[in-house]
Amino acid sequence: MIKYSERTDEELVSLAVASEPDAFGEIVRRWDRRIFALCFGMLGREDEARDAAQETFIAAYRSLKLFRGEARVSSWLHRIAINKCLSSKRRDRSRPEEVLDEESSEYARVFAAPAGSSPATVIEKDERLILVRQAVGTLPSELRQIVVMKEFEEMTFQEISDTLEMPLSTVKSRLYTALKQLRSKLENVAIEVA
Amino acid sequence: MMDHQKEQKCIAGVDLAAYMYGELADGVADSIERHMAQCEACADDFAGIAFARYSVYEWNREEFAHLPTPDVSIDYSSNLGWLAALKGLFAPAPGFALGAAGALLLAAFLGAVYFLPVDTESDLVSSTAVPVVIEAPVDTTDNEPAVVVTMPLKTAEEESGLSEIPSSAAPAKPVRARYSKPKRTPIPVRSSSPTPGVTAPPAPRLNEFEDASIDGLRLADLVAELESE
Repeated sequence: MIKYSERTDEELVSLAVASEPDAFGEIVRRWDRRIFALCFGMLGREDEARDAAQETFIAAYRSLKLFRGEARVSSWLHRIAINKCLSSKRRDRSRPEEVLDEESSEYARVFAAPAGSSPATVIEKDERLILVRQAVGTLPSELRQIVVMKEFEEMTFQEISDTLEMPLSTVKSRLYTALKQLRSKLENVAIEVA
Repeated sequence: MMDHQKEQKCIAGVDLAAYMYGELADGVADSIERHMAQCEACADDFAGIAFARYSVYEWNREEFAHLPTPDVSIDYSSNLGWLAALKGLFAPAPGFALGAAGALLLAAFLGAVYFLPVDTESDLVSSTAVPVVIEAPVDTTDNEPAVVVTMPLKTAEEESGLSEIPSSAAPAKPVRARYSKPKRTPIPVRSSSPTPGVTAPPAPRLNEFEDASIDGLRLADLVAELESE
């Protein structure tokens, strides 16, 4: 019998539709981090992103039978996640700020504990951080500079533009290029590790 | 053709990045969200850069964010010179600095007006001072030698007797300018280069200048004493 880890996403979906829920568990294991990263990119907060990612996989599982294989599973999950994030944003806009603050602190308590608790998770995280460090280190210096100023210094595009005395469009372009290169490096490394 | 049209409508990568960091106007962000909810390519592109971004974010959080940031405080003002310190003092209110500078200039001008002497007349006298020769006329009857005294113009001190008049021929010295107008005694003088044909009034003999009440040695008495010997 072929292991779930050796099957493609589409095969896993077919198995999950055919009453093998553990196959969907493998899909979640493969994509949970990326879906969470997408939600974090849209919502900007880890607690809200974790909630949106969880809702994404629940919605995907409920609509497995609607997946017709016309698109890749990753694209299907991405669109579900984006719609969940937009729904989350709309909810936030319609709620008073006091309720949001209370819920945020509640989410922080709920989601703060489990992350990185098991030894396997700790080792996996350490390996991942090493890979990220190597990937950032191999970026060209002009791209790495923008990434560091944006993520570590938390500067705005305009502040980076003023500091480096370069056009705003150049700053945006370099950051986008840097992120694309990082994505490519991290995906290649992940494939090699697998 | 369809793919080309669809690609034209897709969002530029730089705008996706700007949206991810929340640095787009609300209207633009809304249009991007509506497009990503429908466009598979843009959703995948956004997911890719979001994954890369979160990887760096997590790296920062796990390895750097918990490190204490050194509290560096440098007192730059201690290394400043007096001019820079003065500039720093007036930096919050440059108008006050201008007013202070104007007041200083005004005070300096008024001080110059009140304390510096301005006497154009005495300056004129001093600049045109010419040594004069006081020549006693030769009295042939008494056979007294003629005494010629060359002296500069008298100053106020000299006129008032506070300084001695040199009794012998002395080199002419320029008269120093004084702040007060010297009082002139109407002494008939003639220039050292007299005009031919013009006879100067007889100058008084030296003895006539002496006070009769002073029991000093008179020149005539001295000459008489010498002759008698």
